[in-house]
Amino acid sequence: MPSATMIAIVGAGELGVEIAQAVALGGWPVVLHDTDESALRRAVGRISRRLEKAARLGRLSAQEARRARRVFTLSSDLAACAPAGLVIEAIQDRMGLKGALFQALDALVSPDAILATSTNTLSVTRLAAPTRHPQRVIGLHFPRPAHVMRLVEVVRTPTTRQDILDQAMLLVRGFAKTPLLVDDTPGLIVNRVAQAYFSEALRLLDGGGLDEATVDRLLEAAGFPMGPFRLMDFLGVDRVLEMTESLYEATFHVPRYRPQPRLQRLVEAGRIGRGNPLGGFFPAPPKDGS
Amino acid sequence: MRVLIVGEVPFVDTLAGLCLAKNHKVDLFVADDLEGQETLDKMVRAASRCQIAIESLNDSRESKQWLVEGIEANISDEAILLVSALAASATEVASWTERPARVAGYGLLPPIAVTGLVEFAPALQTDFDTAARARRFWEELGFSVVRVPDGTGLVRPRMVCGLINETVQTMTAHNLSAEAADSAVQLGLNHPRGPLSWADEIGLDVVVGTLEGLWRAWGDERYHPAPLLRQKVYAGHLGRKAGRGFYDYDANAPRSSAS
Repeated sequence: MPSATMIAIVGAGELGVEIAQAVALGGWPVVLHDTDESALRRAVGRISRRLEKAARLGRLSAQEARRARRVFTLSSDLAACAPAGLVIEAIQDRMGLKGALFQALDALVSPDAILATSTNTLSVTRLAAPTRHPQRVIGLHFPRPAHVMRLVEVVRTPTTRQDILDQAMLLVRGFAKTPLLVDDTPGLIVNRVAQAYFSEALRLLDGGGLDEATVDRLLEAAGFPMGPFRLMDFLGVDRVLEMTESLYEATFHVPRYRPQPRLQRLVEAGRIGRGNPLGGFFPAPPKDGS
Repeated sequence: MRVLIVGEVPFVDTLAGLCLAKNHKVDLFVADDLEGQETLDKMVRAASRCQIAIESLNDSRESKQWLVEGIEANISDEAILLVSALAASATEVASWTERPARVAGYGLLPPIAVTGLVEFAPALQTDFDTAARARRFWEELGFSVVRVPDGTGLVRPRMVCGLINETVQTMTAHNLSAEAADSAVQLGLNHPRGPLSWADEIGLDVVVGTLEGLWRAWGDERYHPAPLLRQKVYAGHLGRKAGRGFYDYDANAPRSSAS
């Protein structure tokens, strides 16, 4: 991969923004694309604030933060991604949408460019198959929050070319992340172990006589930064439910991945966590200054 | 107080250290040594003298039952018996004894001294006096006591053995080394330690014993021990206490085991 490679991120939602920030630390020019211009403007504001905070906390030098802010180009026109050597899509996790985007990107970028999906639930192999060059399609799964967690799962399909994987591993190291090469299987590694943490905690409640706060307290005392219920609130109860549902479907219903009615009821009640005023497993924390 | 402690490393030696630090008189027996008649006789004599007996043997229900019956038959009427509720619930363990009212359950997970919390689970049969004495004993050792409902594996051992089981299955499906799987979980999920290195600390036989107990209790395939876990137990690669598990411990620093 030439040092002047441009990296394109498609989709300026929460995940796309987190990935854009992570990638910016690699020093390559970054194009952030979204059809929604206001989403792009919000994205830049968010990234700048987070980089400033990281510099303030000493996680980045002031110079690194300044440089990372300068690498961005914003564009609402997909054609701006054409010169990219690596495109990472982070749009909604729907096969139809991602499939159409991959067809468009496949026709747009050079045949040597790497096309990567950030999906953590859909089959990368299925996304790759209809493109003209499926051998350059990979998955790049950034565990959330993507700008914080150090691992990236590099997903290989049965058709991915080895030199594409080698380049992807190098690029990920360039983002100061640790790449782990995995096969395209449901849940990869991280999501399977994550669901074991969540689903076992939920099943503990099924035995009766335990509450969420006690479970969290016990696990946090054992060194986990967040107990399972606090972590589900942080990541989003709805997202955890989606993750288990897709894992259950994709494995053709392996019983231990069966989603939990308890999660579904919370989502139905709007208690999805992640700062939502209705809360999640626990009530929402009061907003600063209120 | 005179305390009898019987079971497996690293649970029993850590507990013995904590008891000695509080000036209790300790009789410590490691389960493997009880195969010799002479040691067994010594354990029986020690049992008859103790005021508190602590059991921690979780490699299988059968060996746990053998040990618990052996201890309980020899302790005095005034003594209470604290049983580790990993491979079986405290209520099931109490049902093996002559006087189940004086049996209470607890749960600890290595690294024991660091975590500072003990899960405290009276059995359905436990009487008030036993529960009160058990709680006081744990508190005086320096633990924060967290009352949890009795059930196989209680909370932390059940959660952690579940994480270990899923990690082993994922690792074999992806052909990963132990280091790669552990670092994926630590870097991708911020867990405090890799599940495989944690399994080595706990003892792979204890992990399998706990999973089998959960399997009996719930009948859910999630608790079926991963085949590689059983293979390692068959081979005697039980973890740090055996010098070899998912990692090798012969040298100072842990390395990935060749198999």
